[in-house]
Amino acid sequence: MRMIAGILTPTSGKVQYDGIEIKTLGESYRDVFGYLPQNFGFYPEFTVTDYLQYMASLKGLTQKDTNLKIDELLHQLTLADVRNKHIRKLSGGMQRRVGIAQALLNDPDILILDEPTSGLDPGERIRFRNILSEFAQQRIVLISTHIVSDVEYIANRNAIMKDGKIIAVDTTDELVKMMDGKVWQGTVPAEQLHHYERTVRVVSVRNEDGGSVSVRYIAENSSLPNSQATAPRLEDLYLWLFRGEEAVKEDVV
Amino acid sequence: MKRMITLELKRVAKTRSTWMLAAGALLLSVIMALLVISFARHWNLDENGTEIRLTGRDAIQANQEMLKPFEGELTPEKIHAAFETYHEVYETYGAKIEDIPKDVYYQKISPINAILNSVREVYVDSSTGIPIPLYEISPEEAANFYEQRTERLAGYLSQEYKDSTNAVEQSLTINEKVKAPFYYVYGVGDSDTSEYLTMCIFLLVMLCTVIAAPIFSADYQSGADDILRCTKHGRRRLAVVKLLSAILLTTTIFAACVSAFILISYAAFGWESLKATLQLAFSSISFVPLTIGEANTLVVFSGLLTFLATVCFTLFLSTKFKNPITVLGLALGGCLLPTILSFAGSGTNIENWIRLCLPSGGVGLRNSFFFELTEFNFLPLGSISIWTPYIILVAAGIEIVLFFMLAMRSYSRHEAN
Repeated sequence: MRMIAGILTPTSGKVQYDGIEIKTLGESYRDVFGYLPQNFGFYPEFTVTDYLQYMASLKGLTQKDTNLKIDELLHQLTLADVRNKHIRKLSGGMQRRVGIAQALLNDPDILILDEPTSGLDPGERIRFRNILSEFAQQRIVLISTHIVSDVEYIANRNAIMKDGKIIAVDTTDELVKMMDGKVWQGTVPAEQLHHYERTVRVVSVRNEDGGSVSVRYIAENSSLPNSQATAPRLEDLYLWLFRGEEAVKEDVV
Repeated sequence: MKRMITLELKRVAKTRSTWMLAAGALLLSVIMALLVISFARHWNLDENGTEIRLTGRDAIQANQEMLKPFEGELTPEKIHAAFETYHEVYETYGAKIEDIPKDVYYQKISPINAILNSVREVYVDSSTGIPIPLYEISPEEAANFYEQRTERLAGYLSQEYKDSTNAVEQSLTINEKVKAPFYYVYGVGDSDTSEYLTMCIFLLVMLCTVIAAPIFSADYQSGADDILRCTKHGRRRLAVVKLLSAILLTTTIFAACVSAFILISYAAFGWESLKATLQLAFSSISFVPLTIGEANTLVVFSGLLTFLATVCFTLFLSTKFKNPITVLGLALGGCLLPTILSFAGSGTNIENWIRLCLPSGGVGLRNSFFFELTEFNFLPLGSISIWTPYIILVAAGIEIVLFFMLAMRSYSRHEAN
């Protein structure tokens, strides 16, 4: 993400935009670029409007365009009521929305958002997904997230990275097809769940009446009694690709 | 660019620590000016013969009144008259102050003390350099003060710079511009204003270092910089904007504080006293052709250059390190280094070069432009000798440009961790 943002030089390889290295493009690349890093650093002494004014001047917007754009984004991201509040006094979700607003100030052709929906409540997340879907027409939007449902709704093309290498690139539907016949749903007595957890990758568990549990799991073959194949989701692919890892560090992009 | 500078200034000025430091600096300047006024002393006897000891503004007013007859050009006639008075007292009571009745001392000796001290400095035993007792100097000899002064200066410099005729020649050439007769008005020159002005500038350098230290490094630490440098103007132009804003803000603080100090102290001691010759305040044989007012203006100008060099150095450090505390530690260390060298150093030429060429070389507790201006220090550079005040001014001027450029380059090339 930082390499694409141009703030970290790659040790190997190149980052190109329209066939030209971004370092060569310099200011003209940054002019069409919007970025929200995972850790959104802001100036605590600034109000929301002060901060957006400051960012707009760095992005080269005129004063008139700045005022119009700030008004528009504050309404879209439901920040209008807190426009004169200090950013440090806002909730985590609101601060995140301010970060998203600054990334969208210059109507970027390329938008990079690192964990944009973390800290947002479900309503805010849905609103953000809609804004982004609308915004993404004719634009490049790169999102890094651990919230797989966001990707299912927003992305029309996904790249999955593991150990710094892209291991799969495709649409959500095509990627999910890779999991056909590998996702199962079965019911087992609750006391045997621990035993099965050691043999299959459990996706989810739901308590049923009569002391049994319904288990959704991933396996090459049916491994639990009375299992039936079920429709796979992107989350299943994620767990399948990163199975066996103690802590999943990689992101779905 | 103008809009960016305005917004950046607004940002830095809104920071609580900046406000607190600026307010603290202003308060400190006012306190220091008031301290200088409080140091003024005037002792005399009242109508009943009781000793009165005045301090502060009362003392200044009393001194101004007492020394009024001696204001203006210090002509040979005035010196002659002062020595006639001295000899009159000496012949009656002797040379020891304690043998002179207080009323006589306060009425006759106190008003001519400045003249006696100036004469004492130029009449010395040529073989030992020890001042000749005043009672051995006749009024006629004393009236020859200005000729004797030039002779004494040449003798002192020849002794001090035996191996550098260049230093002696330079000093005597500058000395030719010293106006004689000297001009005297009681006031700023009789006070500690110049020393405290230097101290005030030194403290301002330290305080503004604290303001400048986090300008870039705090953004690195908070992650704000990752967003800033992804914007259209987020590299070189932002670096210039941040540098200019920091310089503008700290210079405004400097100007406000120094103005407050100067206005308070000059108003108390009298603006007229700025016309007094520097030699009557510090050393009769000083070769610097300035009045007290001109010398203090030069101290402020040099202080501003030193101040800017130190701020630019701190900003450069700020572009290099992610932790503002590290920057602050290094910058304050750099500020104190010339003072440490002047206290603990062995005084070798190379050490003095380093001390004077450091960004804060022009201000310190024992080292400063003001001290160099009133002393007789030259440093060798190959076959020539350079007067130390020149070194401070040139070094600071170069460093302002150098560290500004280095900071701009360093910020533009900075990479996220």
